Amino acid sequence: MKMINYYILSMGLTYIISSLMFILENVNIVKTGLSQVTPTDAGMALYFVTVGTLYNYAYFKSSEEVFGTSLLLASIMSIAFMFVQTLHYSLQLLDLIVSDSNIEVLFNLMRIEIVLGILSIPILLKERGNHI
Amino acid sequence: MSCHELSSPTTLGNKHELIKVAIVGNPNVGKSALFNKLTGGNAWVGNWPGVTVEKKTGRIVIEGHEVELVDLPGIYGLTPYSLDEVIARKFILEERPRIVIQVINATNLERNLYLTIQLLEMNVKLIIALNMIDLAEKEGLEIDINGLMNQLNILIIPTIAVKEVGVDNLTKAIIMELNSPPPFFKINYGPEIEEAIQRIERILDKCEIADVGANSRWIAIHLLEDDKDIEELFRKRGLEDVLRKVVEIKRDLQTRLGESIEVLMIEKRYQYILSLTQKYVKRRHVKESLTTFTDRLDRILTHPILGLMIFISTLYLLFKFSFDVASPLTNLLDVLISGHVHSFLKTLPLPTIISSLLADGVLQGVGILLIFIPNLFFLFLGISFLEDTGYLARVTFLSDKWMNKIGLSGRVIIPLLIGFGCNVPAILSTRVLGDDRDRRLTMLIIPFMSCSARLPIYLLFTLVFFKENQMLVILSIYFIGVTTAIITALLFNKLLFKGQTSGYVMDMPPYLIPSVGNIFAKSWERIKSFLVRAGSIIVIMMVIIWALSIFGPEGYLGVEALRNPDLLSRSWIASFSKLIEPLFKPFNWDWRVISSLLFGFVAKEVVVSSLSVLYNVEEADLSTVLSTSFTPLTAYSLMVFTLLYTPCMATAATLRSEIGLKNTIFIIIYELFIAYIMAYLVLSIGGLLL
Ligand SMILES: Nc1nc2c(ncn2[C@@H]2O[C@H](COP(=O)(O)OP(=O)(O)O)[C@@H](O)[C@H]2O)c(=O)[nH]1
Repeated sequence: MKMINYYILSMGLTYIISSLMFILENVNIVKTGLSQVTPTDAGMALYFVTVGTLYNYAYFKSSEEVFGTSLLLASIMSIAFMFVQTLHYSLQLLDLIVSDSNIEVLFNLMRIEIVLGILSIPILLKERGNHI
Repeated sequence: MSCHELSSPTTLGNKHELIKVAIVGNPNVGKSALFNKLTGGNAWVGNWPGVTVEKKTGRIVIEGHEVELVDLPGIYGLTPYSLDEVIARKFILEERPRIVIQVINATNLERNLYLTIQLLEMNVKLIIALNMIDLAEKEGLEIDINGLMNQLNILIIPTIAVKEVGVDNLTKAIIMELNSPPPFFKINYGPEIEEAIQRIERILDKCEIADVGANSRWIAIHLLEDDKDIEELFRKRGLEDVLRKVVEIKRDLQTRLGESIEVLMIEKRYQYILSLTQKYVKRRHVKESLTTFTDRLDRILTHPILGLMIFISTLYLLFKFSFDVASPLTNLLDVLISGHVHSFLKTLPLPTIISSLLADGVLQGVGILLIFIPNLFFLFLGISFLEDTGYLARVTFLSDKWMNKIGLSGRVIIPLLIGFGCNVPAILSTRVLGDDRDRRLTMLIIPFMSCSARLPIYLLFTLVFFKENQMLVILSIYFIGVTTAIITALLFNKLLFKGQTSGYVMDMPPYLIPSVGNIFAKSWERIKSFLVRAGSIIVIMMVIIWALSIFGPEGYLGVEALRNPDLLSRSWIASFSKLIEPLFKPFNWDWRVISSLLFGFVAKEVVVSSLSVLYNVEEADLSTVLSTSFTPLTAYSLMVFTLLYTPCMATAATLRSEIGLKNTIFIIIYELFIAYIMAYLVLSIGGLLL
């Protein structure tokens, strides 16, 4: 139980910190240069804040019944984003056939949203078992 | 009773007769899923006459009988409160389907049975498809189907539409039911009301109303319930004296009861339903039922802050899914069409004008169409998914309060938001609104939602004239679009669409894991109808524009005109632009800008590229040229104008197929007018300030 709670907390914090980094970069306070782990635009930053909030909400309400629901939603949203991005970057490889865009797009498959999405799968499986 | 209902054995033996079967049910019971499974996906989609509500029909052959299935709109009852209910009732009364199949959500028998009772009172031959029994099982509901069947004296077939369970039994039931007489069904409304019903029936028996399509008891009941449609029907036939007698009977009854007759009758029906469910439905205790799970999710998803955040995030993901994921495919298609196929057509040994017609006219039109497909398909996939999970209903709930303020229902939010991506799917998605009035009003304001194709224009101009505040200026354009939409909605609410948005019941279906097949089928159906309906018009319009560019008042200019600014300046398009140039005198736009705006009707993205052709510069050098011929103020008013001026060709074609040519032309003219006024306002207010 303990372990799982830390897992949830760190997932939530990663999401929030990542979007904080986006904000810091964009108001030109610091240049982290870690583009692999920050959102690419404002919409994505909001998405990260939302998922992060759901994870943290689950952690802080872990004694209440809203806990499971919040976790379920957080993991679904994480995985959905991973799914969309993976599909997007994989399809971009198609473009390689017709244009001279960069092979570096492959590295995008290691972007933070994809990693976090994969890390959310165990949570979804566990919660799904509890609910449905 | 008409002889039609007492179908004699001879008509039965006739296997060539087309048997009409109507499918009805409350919204969200799995009606479409079942319809698709019954017809095997072969449905013909059109509109109900005179309105924009979708009508689906499909034909199948069962044991040699040809059966036509008609999908009626989702309704809660047969009292004509909403347009959907009017349509459904009209169909049953006037077209007299041989059999009506009611799809019922087994997890919510109480509410669904109300419609059953109303159908039975009409004496239609009814079969019930007791759908979603898998969910009922999960919730721990035990339904005594045989008991219910015997009590109501109708066939009840358990089904799981998404898994195609029970569909065969349902088709068998249709054939079985053909031979049986219509059911006899009667609710006892209590001695006072029953007496009144009988008195009215006696009056009715003396008049010629056999063709109304229902028995006299049904008509009597509806007259008691102040049914405006039936009263209207009587008035049309000059039977006012009957109505007067009915009013007397009602007044008499009212004084005896001391309560509203209508309310009492509804109560009686619910009492009857309650007695049924108490007798035939048992509830086992289960770990966590679907309802409590749904309640818990709702607490988060309809939370004022968290719910809103989730909604915006979901929307963002939806757009990312449909635009980002589709963009590689779109690029691929673009390269194929405007590159390979285009040059292939040019190399064919054909006269240049023919090969140009094929390559620059027809192919270009087909290209516009095809390039839409990946975007549309992914967008529809996403929307159908959200719809089937039950999430869209929550979004509606969240936005209902705000949308009501401008006289629209919360459901309108989805099409409007989709409009920011592309207006075409936005217009197509208004189909789910059901309500005719909401649909028309929404379609009118969708073009004001700045679609993504308009962004390159703003980007170009803001880059040249507002380099410092690019983001802010672009946001202000979007804001102007939304404000214009709100004002339009308010205005037309007052003028044309009087009355409230149809008070629909806020139905919160339980959350479900959608079936992949259903989602793909739905999306494909939507794409198909776009291709079929808008396709030919887009191609034809493209050919017309092509012809207007290579011909001029002097005659044929040669296909080079498409790429040569000197020739193009002598084309019909240019002549027309020069003709209307004085109209745009206040804005100081010359004919080249006006021509690009005309080309912009083809697709808004074309404005930038045609500007560069007309100014005879590379797209990259366009900014230098523009900075000499525009001031920041005229540039801003041009942006406002392009935001509002007309829906693009694809949007117009979609509009035409949905609401007809007349309404589309009206929308285009209205929007041109608004665009002109707004651009002029920008110019004069800006002139005062600066
Ligand atoms: N579990 C389950 N889901 C179903 C069944 N029938 C339909 N659904 C789902 O219920 C939702 C609504 O179905 P739809 O056909 O769109 O309903 P309509 O509004 O009545 O046309 C969809 O997500 C379907 O996948 C069923 O028998 N079992």
